[in-house]
Amino acid sequence: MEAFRRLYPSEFYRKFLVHDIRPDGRALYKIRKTTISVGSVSSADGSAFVKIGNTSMVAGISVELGSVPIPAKGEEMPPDGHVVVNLELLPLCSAKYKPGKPSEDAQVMGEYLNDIAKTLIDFSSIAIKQKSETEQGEQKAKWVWFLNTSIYCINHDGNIFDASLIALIAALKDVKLPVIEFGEDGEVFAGEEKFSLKLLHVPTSLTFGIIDDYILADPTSEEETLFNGTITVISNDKDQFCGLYKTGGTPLSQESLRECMDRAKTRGVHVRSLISKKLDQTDPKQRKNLMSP
Amino acid sequence: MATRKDNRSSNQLRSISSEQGVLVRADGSCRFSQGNSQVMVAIYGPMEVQRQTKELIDRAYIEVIYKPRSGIASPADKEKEKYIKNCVEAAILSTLHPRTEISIVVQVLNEDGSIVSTAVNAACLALIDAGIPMKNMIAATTIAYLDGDLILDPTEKEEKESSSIFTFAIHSQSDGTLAVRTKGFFSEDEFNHASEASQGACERVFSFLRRSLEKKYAE
Repeated sequence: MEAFRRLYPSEFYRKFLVHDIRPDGRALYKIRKTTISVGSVSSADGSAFVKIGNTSMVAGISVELGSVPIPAKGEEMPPDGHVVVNLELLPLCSAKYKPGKPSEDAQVMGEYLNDIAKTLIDFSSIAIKQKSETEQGEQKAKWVWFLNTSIYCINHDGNIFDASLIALIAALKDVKLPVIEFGEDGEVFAGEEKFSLKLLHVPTSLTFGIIDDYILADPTSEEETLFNGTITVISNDKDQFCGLYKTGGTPLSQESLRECMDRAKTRGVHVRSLISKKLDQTDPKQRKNLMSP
Repeated sequence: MATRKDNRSSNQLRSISSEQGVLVRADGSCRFSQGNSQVMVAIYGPMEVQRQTKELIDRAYIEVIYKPRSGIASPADKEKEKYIKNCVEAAILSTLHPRTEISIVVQVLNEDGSIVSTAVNAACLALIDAGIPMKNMIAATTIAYLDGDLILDPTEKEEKESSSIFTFAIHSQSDGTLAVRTKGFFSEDEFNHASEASQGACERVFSFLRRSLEKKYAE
């Protein structure tokens, strides 16, 4: 049977799909067990570790300050902060990825994550209050926040994007920013007080794959090799959708797309309750480090 | 229906024009424009695979290279490449040319909104010009929501002010969405309306593609 699975993977899968089930026993729309743990990386300012089935992603945020020049009068002011996401898919997680420049998957998914990241935080509400002006009475530059986020895949068993997005959100909710204080000579340092970020909205995603006429939710990496198309739907807690990506292959009808969107919304409710449960009970003394086996 | 800055109605596409066989050295080419957005696509192939690791034993390897008007390609351009590749891959009969590469180079000549759908339409015509065997044609349109109104084929200015932008691709032989990518926030209803509108808009693009092919091969 193992030989049949390796030699004719599509045929092997179809035998199960006809009965509305998958080889790992899941129904077509069943999503694997999702676990989230925050604060696992003590050297980062905010971190999260997310597992969906065997797929594991770690997100770490380091908070930095940067000085950006203030443009001449009349030009748009630069934003008061940035969230920059770097998704790393290393050879560690899967045989698909080779060392060297980032793979296409990493760049494309990183782009989707960055698009979402830009909408998450209202930096003007936490803008760094500049100290009093220089002698000329005008500010030449201002300090802005840089939240550099790195998301690493530790184990690739399909559906990287969903896990990455949950990790990003959880890490951002975990991060604590210091209150910035200015010394007498204008030097900047981090004060004792820390505050958490308030996210403008909480997006979650659900990825589906299409084989023939079947739509499977939360694919494993074996299933991903058999698909002729994937759909990723990103929805948030404000009853909006912030992304829908369907890659080619078989055309999908309106009803199927609608069904995918509904399932993504249901999934969103579940994931958001998971995240808030995890963040409410997280206390440094009680943190269980999910990264140790 | 509010009129837009260029006096179009909300479901009016900009004027489309195309020219095939423009590049002498390429196997196929097409210069395509929707309004002021203009794209040049060159097709090379089926040819020997440039990078041995990419060779596929049972089909042609399809590569899309998207070059913005100025500067080097960024991850955002990589995402556009992937979208264009997904659209055309379904249409090309790649199993007829195993162990070869079909290279689709998209060069943006002028960017004025709806650039990705312009690129997909141009790629379709260029592939036909190159004689690459295809199952069907593909057409794409961009739809945006601006101040709550649905508009087709937005300009760059309109895109900047929109709350959401959708790029739909449809193929000529069946209904339903072949590929879609979105930017911004939208509700389920907005998505459904945009999806319906895209069917009609893509039909218009198909009729343009057919007319330009008829004109070319009638000579």
